This record gives sequence, structure tokens and C-alpha cells, in this order.
Amino acid sequence: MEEDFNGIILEIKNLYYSYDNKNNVLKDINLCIKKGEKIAVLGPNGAGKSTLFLNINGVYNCNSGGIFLYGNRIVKKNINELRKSVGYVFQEPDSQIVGSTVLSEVSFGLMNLKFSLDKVEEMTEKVLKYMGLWEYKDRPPHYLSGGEKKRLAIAGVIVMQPEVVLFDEPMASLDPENSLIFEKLLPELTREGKTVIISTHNVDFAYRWADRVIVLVGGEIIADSTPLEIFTSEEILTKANLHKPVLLQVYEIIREKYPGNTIDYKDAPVSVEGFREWFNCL
Amino acid sequence: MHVHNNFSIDYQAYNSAIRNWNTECKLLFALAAIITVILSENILVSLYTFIFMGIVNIYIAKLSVKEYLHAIKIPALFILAGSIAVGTGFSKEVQGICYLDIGFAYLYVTKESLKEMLDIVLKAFGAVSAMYLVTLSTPAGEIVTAFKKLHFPGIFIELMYLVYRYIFILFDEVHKMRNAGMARLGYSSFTASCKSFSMMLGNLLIVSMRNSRVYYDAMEARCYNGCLEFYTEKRKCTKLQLSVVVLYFILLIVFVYFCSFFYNTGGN
Amino acid sequence: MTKNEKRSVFAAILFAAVFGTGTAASAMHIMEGYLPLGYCIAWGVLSVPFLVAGFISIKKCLESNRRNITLLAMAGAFIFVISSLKIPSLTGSCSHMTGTGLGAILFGPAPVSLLGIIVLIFQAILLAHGGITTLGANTFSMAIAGPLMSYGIYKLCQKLKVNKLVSVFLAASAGDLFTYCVTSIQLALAHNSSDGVAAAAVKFLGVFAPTQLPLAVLEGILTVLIIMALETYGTQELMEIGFIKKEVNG
Repeated sequence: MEEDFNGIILEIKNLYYSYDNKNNVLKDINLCIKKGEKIAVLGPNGAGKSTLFLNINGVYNCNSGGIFLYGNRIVKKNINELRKSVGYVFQEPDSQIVGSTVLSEVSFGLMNLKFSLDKVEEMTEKVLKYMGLWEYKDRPPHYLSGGEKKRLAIAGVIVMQPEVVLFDEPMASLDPENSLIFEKLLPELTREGKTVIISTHNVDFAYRWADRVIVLVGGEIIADSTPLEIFTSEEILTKANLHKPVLLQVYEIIREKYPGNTIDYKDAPVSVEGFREWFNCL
Repeated sequence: MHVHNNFSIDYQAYNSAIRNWNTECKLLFALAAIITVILSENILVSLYTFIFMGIVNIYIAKLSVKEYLHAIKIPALFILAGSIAVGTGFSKEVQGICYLDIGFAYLYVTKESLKEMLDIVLKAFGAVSAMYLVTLSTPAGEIVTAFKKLHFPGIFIELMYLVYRYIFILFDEVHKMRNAGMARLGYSSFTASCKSFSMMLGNLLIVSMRNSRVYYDAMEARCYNGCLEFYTEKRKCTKLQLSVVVLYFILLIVFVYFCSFFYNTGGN
Repeated sequence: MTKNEKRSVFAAILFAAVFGTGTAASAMHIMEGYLPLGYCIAWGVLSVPFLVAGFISIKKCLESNRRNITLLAMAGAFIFVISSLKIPSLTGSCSHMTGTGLGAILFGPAPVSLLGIIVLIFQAILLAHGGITTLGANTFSMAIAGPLMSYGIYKLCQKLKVNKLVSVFLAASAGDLFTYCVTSIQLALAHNSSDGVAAAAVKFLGVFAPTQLPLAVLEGILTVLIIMALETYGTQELMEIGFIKKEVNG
């Protein structure tokens, strides 16, 4: 099915959304989301990132414009298709967790999708083991640590096997250890062919992880391009009040110091390992 | 892992050795035992139930004696206060087997009133210990699931699931706010305490109501459409569990029969 | 009240003050095993019409907007939380608000009846306050009689154009006192062998008076302060949350 659409899973066309029918929180959003993409959404607080996610996931209905899943326009009737295909991991795990044990929490989405009990049992077990939560399966969420809760929230979403996973500021409340666990999970999701969209304030993370960056300011997409293009454009950075990733700054400083070199960013490293390699070759 | 002091019962339930017992079985057994205690109007039945449930709670459910005594202590205060009112009478004249002159009247107890008092204290402890068989071994979420299987109305069940979950979210919030309040000396005097306390609760209500919308969004995001369903592990009703139930009733008859035989005041 | 009875009340208070110092004031829950089966059933049956009314009102609220389910559950959890928090105290004794007065003022008595029984079930399960067989009696006193009284007083005060904070105080304290009276009568009806229902009721009232009377006043004060806090911080939110608006700001 996907092949017919050149890998395009979702298309968002001229989407407008407002809470009160007066002030548009989202204005004229146009996006095309493909299979396997790694997209970072940047923008100041209140720019409409969470609102955008709630629209993409089908919880909010846009005022005008539309969302197309594999070319089919999403209307009330097939909204569950969208919610199933696009999983949304909320910023605060507590806002998402409803079950009274780890096991029942993970089963929630599957039960809503009316899977057979055997299937639910099989799928929850698989995901819990995958997320390292199997030993906690009978534990209630209120006796889990912050990091465990986050993993539980993620498990509850990916168990539904969405093709696109949205993360709303996933590392905002995580300690370094759990942030690392989370960052290790991302390549695995990508390897499984999932599209991952993450809203974040962490430009360094966006720079090293994403292959596409969307910048949202005042409910409008002001830029949608590769990380390098976004982070080298002073105009965009100023507009969205973003810092330049540290690695990129360091790269520029070193490039300027070495005479005879123009900064063309073609060889700009995206990771610390890449940087070391590049630096050694200078 | 953060354990709330107020919720030792909840915490013990999750760690109970008989947590995997069939919930409906536990519920119905406890209810049957409580009703037996209430209906029998017999001190021996109450005493027997208190002992039997204590043994089950300590030896089979593997609660430590300390934990169990702590749990028993919770209702003890009410039971004692209430029984004082049952066991005593007032009169202008001296009467009863024992009295206390309190200046303008006599506070007295009679043999009958003492017996009634003892009766009600034991009855309450017997019934409470039977209830503890369920609550100290069954997480509240599973009790709600059992209610569901017993065909309670759907809205009621959904509200119960959500209320249970939110109670702990709110307590976490309270915990954070309290600490913040303490840090700013908000609880240094009685008046300050009252103010901080109510301000915290007002704040809590506003914040949690705002959050409750997000919680609904999050449920919808996972395809919730008005029917809260969870997968729960099957809890089998084994022969061991049934034999405990049967043992309770057999020993009940034996115990009451023999005690009445030796001590002929136990009967109705 | 006769002279003799008056003395009895006084004595009972004195007696309880001596013997019951430090008695936990969550004591207004009738414990498991405290009522004969007939009374358990009777109070349960008496509660049913009110619970059905609550059920219907909640159902309507959900039919008008399905999203209200999390809001209602949050209200229930909130009542549970305020009823289980230790409140500030002068004497160092450990006491709790009922919270149902506040609930009735904010949400109306009908939904509070159903939320109240849920709260009571969780109090029995999680805190061992109250019990399953006494659930009917406790529901009647704490989730029905108290909130109805609070709501009635509040509405009456509004009609009489009494200052809002004063009405809130009166409503919350009256609800508390009424719950305490109803519970005492419930106990007296079941346990009166020595000297009749009236005298027994006086005894139970007396035993619980030292904790319940100050508590009613405190509940009133705290409820007023909470409403004040709600109005300072949350006017915006209260406006947004439709059905609170007309109660608090109207």
C-alpha cells in the first residue's frame, strides 16, 4: 500500500486549528511525512507544537484543511485509523497512564482496538520485554520511578504498532541515564521502519539525531529542511529564538582559525565521534 | 520508588503472597464471613473469625505481625470510642455493677451493657479482619475489575478506575506542593498552616482540572471511545483457596460447638 | 432538652474528653461490623434513590460532553484527597475534612452522591475507614445527607443575599455537623438496648462531639479559604470549566 504513495504516510494540507474559533493556534500547516523519517520539531513554548501533534494524531479536528493518511482524507468515520497509525507519547507520563498496573496500562490501546485477548497478551508481553518492564508487569504505575513511567508511556504507545510515533519533549523530565536509554531506543524504532517525530528544545539533540527539522513559530511553519540548513540560517535561528548547536559552533570556530578554508558545512560533523574523526583529519 | 505513608494498605496489597488469589473468591469469602459475624450475634463467632483471619493474613498472606497490628490499629480508635457509648449509661441513682460519680450523675456499666460492648468490639474486629483479607491482599484496581465482572454499571466502573489512578497523581502533587510550602515556612503557625493548606488545595483543584482535559486527550490518542477496557491476568480460583473457605466454616462450627459446650454463656 | 438530658450531654462530652483524647476524627465512618445486617440493608436501600439521581445526573453530564468523564473522576479523586489529608490542628490531634461540602457547593449534590460512594469505597479499601457492609449507612450520612444540607444552606444563603464567603462557611460547617448528627442517630438506632434511641443518640453525639464540633468549624474555615484560593488563582479556569462557573462566580 505504501509503495503507491512513494513512501508518503501522511499529508497535511492547509491545516488551520483554533480552540475558540477566533485565534488560530495553527495556521496554514502543510506537511508531507514519509516512512522512516526522523523529524525534530523546534519552536518556543506556545508555538503550537503540542497542538500540532494532537491534530496529527487525530485527537483534535482541524477547522479547515485536511489530513490524508495514505491518500485517504481523514474524517470522523476513519479517525481511529489515524489514531492507530500515529502514536503520541505525551510529555508527562502521568497524563497518559490510565491503567492500574503496568500490564493493564500497556493493554489499554490494544483493548480499544478490539484485539483478541490472546493477541493482547502476546503483544503486551513482547513490548514489555522490549522496554525492559517485564519484571514490573504487576506493579502499579504509582510505584514506578520517573524513568520507568516514561518507558511505560512509550510502551503503551508502541504496542499499538503505529507507523508514526510522536514524542512531545520526551527528555524534559528525564535524568541523564534515562535520556540515554531513550536515545538508544530511537535508532531501533527507525530500524523497524517507523517514522519518528520529536518536539524538543534541545537543539544539540535535534542536530545529531534528526534528518529533517521543522521550525514552528506562532502556529506557522517558518522552516522545514535539513538540520544543517536550519541551524546555519541566522534568520531562522533569530526568528525562533534558537541557539546554534554547540558542535556546529565549535566546527565554525575551528574552520575560521584554519586559514585557507572556507566554511561550506559539507563536512560538518553531527556527532562527537564524527567530530573527532573530522578533527583528526584536519 | 515513592511510597505514600497514608497508603500502607495499598502497598501491602501489591506485595501480598495471596495477591494472585481469585479476587471474586476473596471478596465473596470476606463478605460471607462478615455477614456470618453480624448475623450470628455470638461473641465466639466474632472471636473465632478474628483469630482465623489473623492467621490467614499472617501465615498465608505473609504479612508481618507488625504490619498486621498496624493495620488493625487504624479502626481500633473508632471501635473503642463507639463502644464507650454502647457500654455506659447515665443515671441519677447508683446502679449497675460499677459506677463512677461524676458530680451530678453516675456513670454506670451493667453486666448487660458490658457484654454488649464486648460483643460489638469483637464483632467489629472480626468483621474488619475479614475485610483485611481482601484489602491487604488485593490492589484496588483489581477490586474494581471484580466489580466489573459482577456487573456494576459501566460509568461507575470507569469512574472508579480513573479515580483510583488520579488519587495517586494528586497525592504526588500534594507532596510536591507541601515541600514547596514547607520550604517557604508556610506551615510555621496554625494560621499560616490553614492558609497554606487551603491555598495548596485550591491550587491543586485548578491544576488538576486543567490536567484532566489532557488526560482525556491522552486516552483518545490511544483510540479510547467511551469504554475503558484493560487486560488483566486471570486469577484462578484454586483448590487451596476453596479449602481455606471450607476450612473457615468447618472450624467455625467445631469451635463454636466446643466452646459453648465448656462455657455455657456463648450461645444466643 | 430536659435539664437531665442537658447534663447528660455535658457529662458525655466530659467523659469523652477524658477517655477519648486523641481519638482520630476520621471516626465519623461507621466501621465494618458495627451495624446489624437489617440496618446495613435499610440504609443502603434508603440511599438508592439518591444514588440513582446522581447516576442520572452524571450520565446526562457525560452525554452532553463525553470529555467530562476525566473531570468528574478528578473531582472524585480530589474529594478523596482532601478527606484523607491531615488538616492543620491546634491540639495536635489527627483529623480530616469531609470535603463533601465543598464538592456539593462546586458540583451540586447529585453528582457528589455518586462520587461520594466511590470515595467511600476507596476509603474503605485504601485507608480502612468505614467498611463494605456499612457502606450504605456511610453513604447516606456522608455522601447524601451532608452534601444535601450544605447545598441547601448555600442556596438558601444565596437567596437571602448573604455574603458569599459566609454562606460557604455556613454550608460547609452545617454539612459537617449534619453528617455527624446523622451518623450518631444511625449508631443510636442500632445500639440502644440500655436506654432508648434518644438517650443513645445523645451518648453518641457526646462521644464524638470533642472532635467533631471543632472540626465542623475548621471545615467551614478551610472551605472558605479554598474557595478564596480558587477565585484568586483560577477565575480563568473556573470560567472555562463550564459547570463550576455558575456556582462560584454566579
